[in-house]
Formats: sequence, structure tokens, C-alpha cells
Amino acid sequence: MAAPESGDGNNGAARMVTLISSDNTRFEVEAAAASLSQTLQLTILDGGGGGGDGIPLPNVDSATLSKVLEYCIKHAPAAANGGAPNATAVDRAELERFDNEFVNIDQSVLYSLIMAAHNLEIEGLQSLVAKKVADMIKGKSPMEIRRTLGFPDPTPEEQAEMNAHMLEYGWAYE
Amino acid sequence: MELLPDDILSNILRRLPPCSLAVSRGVRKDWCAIIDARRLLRADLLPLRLDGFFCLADQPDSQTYFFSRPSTGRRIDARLDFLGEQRDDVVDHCNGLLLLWDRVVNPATRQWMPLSPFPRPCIGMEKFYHDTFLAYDPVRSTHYSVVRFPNVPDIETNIKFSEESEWPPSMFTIHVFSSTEQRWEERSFQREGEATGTIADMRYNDWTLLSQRSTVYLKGALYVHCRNNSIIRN
Repeated sequence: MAAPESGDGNNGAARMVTLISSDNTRFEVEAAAASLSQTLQLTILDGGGGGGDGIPLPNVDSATLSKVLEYCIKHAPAAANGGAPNATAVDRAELERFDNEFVNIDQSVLYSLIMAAHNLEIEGLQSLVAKKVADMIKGKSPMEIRRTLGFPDPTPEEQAEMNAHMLEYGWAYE
Repeated sequence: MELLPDDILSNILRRLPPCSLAVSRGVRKDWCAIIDARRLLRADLLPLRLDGFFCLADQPDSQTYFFSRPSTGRRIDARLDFLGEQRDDVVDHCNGLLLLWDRVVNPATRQWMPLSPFPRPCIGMEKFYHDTFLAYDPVRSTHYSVVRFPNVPDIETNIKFSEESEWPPSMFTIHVFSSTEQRWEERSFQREGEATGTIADMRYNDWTLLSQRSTVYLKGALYVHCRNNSIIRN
């Protein structure tokens, strides 16, 4: 008995593509996972990235790309399901647990991820990292936010200007 | 964290609740610029803090009361002693500002601004009473308006309206004093929806009901409570 053909017509064997990081490391992943990136999706649909070619990503280093692909591989099955309307609560809870764990990382890594998610246009990852930074800002004073994000302390002139801005919605500070 | 491009930063900031956004304006100049330029902060959603409230007595000769914690009461001169001889009855109050007969007063800053003399009533409404209301919402604007709103007089008074006339009329004009213009201006209103009743419904026959009507100023609209328990929105 023949197995039913999968929708993309490649007889069940997942199509693979090769991505090349800025430091020339090659990553072979399923096309479905790489297609979470809007930027890569068109190239892949056009048949690019297969065989020995590979798609060069000059803005993403290998450490970051490996992290990005970890996310894509985890999220690809749910994305293929059209946002997984019939995913079970267990599946969803598992993805949520993965996401929380995934962004529990050093700030420099988080920064690279933010830039990569932006350049590769991976919508879910963009939201995830943006939400992570927003959570780091929430409920803190301006000084605490600066310290948290590693911004240099303002000069006295800058501070005076900031104070003026803060006065405008002064009652929001508590 | 190194500096993020504007689009990414704005994508992060738009996830913050209004309070955190207000605070974030004080983090860096470019943060403030992005929050303002992209209108990320819905200031109307910021929680206002209640320091105290005024209670306006509904009899012409009684007092205005201010309820607050003692610490606030010491800071805010709700008795308006700083006006000295010029102290007058409080006509209305709105979000911390007080309206006296001839001026608008801020009891927290002890500043006041004179109103220009009341304008002549609109034609046909010479015999009407006029209530004066204050409209001020610091979340929307630092400017205030004072509104003269016609009030159908008691049954003893002859007016140029038949008792069956609709109230409010489909078109009518009221006077508004705005702190930006510093003068009274006519504003025409076209009624939307049904009349709340007839002139007869609005007639007073009891002096004690002649006192100031209640208003609420919410999100840029003034809601006036009318004689027959209907509400007019301006």
C-alpha cells in the first residue's frame, strides 16, 4: 500500500537546504524550518539552497545561526500546521516552555538574536526576543533600565533634559 | 545591550504598558524621541492618582469640601485662603481645577486665571438660566474650557419657546471660554439622536432643584445631567 503523498510532493523525504554563516560554517536544515524566515522563503521556493550551493548569510555568525535554527526546527511543525490550530495543550505548553528557556540567555547573545531575527524576518522569533527585552524593562526606573541594558550613565546635562521629559507624565512614576 | 535600530526598538517599546512607556521616555533621548514620534504612549490609559476630591455643596450658601489625607490637605489650599478678599463661591470643579464666578483656580499651585465677563445669551434664550461648567483633563491637554450651558427656567418665567418644543433643539449655540483663546466664543451644536424631552419636561417648579446640575468630563466630551434625568453629551 502506497503512503499518501505529502502536500509538497517530494514523497515524504524532507527537502534539505544549506545555509552558510558569515564565518563560513555550513548548516544543513529542512527547508520547512528555514522557511520560517521570510527572507529565505522566496529563495527556497525558487529552488535555491539545495545541492552544493548553499545560501550565504553574511550578517549572521555561526553561533547565532545555530541558535536561530534551533528555534526554527522546534517551531517548524507547528508553523506547517498553520499556527497549529489543532495542536494539543501539551504541545503548546511544551513550545512555551521551550521559548522561555530559549531566551534565558546572556545579553550579548540576545542582542545577536534580535538582529538575526530582524534580518531574517522570522516573525515568531522577533516577537519572542522583543517580549523578552520588554520584560526586562517593565516596572523599572529609568536608572535601573539603563543599568540593566548596560547603557552608560547620562551626563548631568543629559540627566537634566531627561528629568524634563519625565516631568511630563510625572504621575506615572511611583 | 548595544543600540538597536529604530524599528526594532519601537517593536520592543510598543509591548510595554503605559506606565513603563512613560518611564522609558526618561531612559535616553532617542527612546523618548521614538516613543513620541510613533505615538506609542497612550497617555489616556495612564492611571491618574487620586490625591483627594472636592464635594460641591448643592445649596448656594454652603461650602465646598475637600477630602484628602492630611498630608495632601496641608499641601493643597482647598479653602482658597491665598485669594484673600477675592475668594468667592466655587461653581464647579474638574480634575483638580476649580471654577469660581470670575476665574479658574488651581488650588495645588495657587495660581488663577481670570475669565472675561460672561457673554450675552444667544438670541431667543435671554430668559434662560445658564449653568457654567469647567472641562479640564490633564491627561489630554493642559488647557481647559469653561462652558455656559442653557438651563430651561422655572414655569413662572416667560420664554420664547412653546412648552411642546423639543429640548435640546436640533441646532443650538452655546458659549465656550477656552484657556488657549482667552475669550468667549460661540459654538454651534447639531443634535445627534433624539431630543431628550420637551421644554415642559425641563421646567422647574421647585426652587430647591434650581441648583447646579452635575457634569462629567470624560475623554474630551462633557456630559450634562438634565432635569428629566437624561444626559446630553457635548
